[in-house]
Amino acid sequence: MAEVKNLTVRYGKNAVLKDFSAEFPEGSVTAISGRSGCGKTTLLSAVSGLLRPAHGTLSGFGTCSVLFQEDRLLPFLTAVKNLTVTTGCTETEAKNALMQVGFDMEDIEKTASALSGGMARRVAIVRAILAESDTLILDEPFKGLDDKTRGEVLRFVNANRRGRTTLVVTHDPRDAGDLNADRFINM
Amino acid sequence: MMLSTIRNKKVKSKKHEAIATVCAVAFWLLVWHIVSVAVDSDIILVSPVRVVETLFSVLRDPSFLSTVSYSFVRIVGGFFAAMLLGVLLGWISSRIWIVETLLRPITVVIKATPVASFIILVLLWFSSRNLSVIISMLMVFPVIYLNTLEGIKSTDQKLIEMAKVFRMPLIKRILYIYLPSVIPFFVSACSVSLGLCWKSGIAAEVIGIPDGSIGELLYSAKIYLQTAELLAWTVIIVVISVLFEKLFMALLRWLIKKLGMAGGALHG
Repeated sequence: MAEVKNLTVRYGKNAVLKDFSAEFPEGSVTAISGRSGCGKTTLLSAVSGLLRPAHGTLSGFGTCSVLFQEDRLLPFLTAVKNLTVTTGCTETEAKNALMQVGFDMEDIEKTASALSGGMARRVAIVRAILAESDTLILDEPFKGLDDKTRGEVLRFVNANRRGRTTLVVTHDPRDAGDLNADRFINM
Repeated sequence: MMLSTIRNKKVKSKKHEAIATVCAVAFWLLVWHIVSVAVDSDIILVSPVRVVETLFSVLRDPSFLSTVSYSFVRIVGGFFAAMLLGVLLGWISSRIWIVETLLRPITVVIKATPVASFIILVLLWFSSRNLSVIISMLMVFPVIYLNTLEGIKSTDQKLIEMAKVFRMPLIKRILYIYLPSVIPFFVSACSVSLGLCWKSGIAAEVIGIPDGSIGELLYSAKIYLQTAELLAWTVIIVVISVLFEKLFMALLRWLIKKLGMAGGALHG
């Protein structure tokens, strides 16, 4: 069981997250929603170890792989190389995964800076899924994807989540159901 | 069709530019020749024809290669030493703030102090044989160091966070995140430094007069009022400096391309 206990995170004097507590059973999928600026992304940053909390404890999350709100791809590398370099997967695994989310042979050899917004998003999603981790963190995963592509990506995510504890921040009410979320947090 | 027209226009304009440059050089050579004929004194202003004659006699001199290699090895050695030191200390400074703070006044002083002051100071501490190594290193170091540091500091923090989350090994972080960010700064620093190391290195040799160096020959040309020798050696220095710069920059760009980290570094 992963747990957040009395978590407070500050940016300077401003507490973005105050005395927040929640439990995340192993293998569960938790959908997190709430108005903009309420601290959803801050919570994910704290869980993934990128932000140090002012107070409170985080336990049981282990290693995390993260789909950030921005794609954060290595701009000079191809889609395939982005995956092999960051996750340590083989080229074949990377190519297979990209094919499953709608890439063709030409697109997988394009550098990240030459990819469209939707393609870059898919590479970022595949990266989070392929990386070995105990916890999967998805921040607005399907942002900017059309319905057909969203369906392909959704199938890929559900098929490859490998029972990892998953935290999904979303504004889209469909995401929770489509990702089989069993817990909901409204911040 | 339209693309090929644009390309043809570009090629034509490049050709025109090259012809215009050659014409401009020819114009100034002619002006130089006319003025030297009017002045009629080889000491005050030697003619370009005489300089070319002297240049060929210098090139035929049996000691030419040893003189050039003496200065070349030391000045280029100083450049490479500064490059290594600048990159290494740039990296350390980006990690340890106290190193950056300690080096800040040193780089400010080196940049602001006239090169002649350093040459005289270094002559007090070391022999003149290795003066040009130390001086060219000293002049190049701040340029490489500051640019490397700036490049590392301008690395995208979001990519650094991504690398941390995905537990990318340090070597991959350096290769795929830091280097693409540092390379544009490093390339422009090298381009500036290559000219600088020759100017400062030769100046050091002229003041320190080490035996068998280009600087020694420039000094004796000045003492014996051999204006033609002075200008012939100046031409040789400029040619060696430009050739080395072109070769080094081409090798650097080839290496960057080979490593697949082109980014914005290869433009210009």
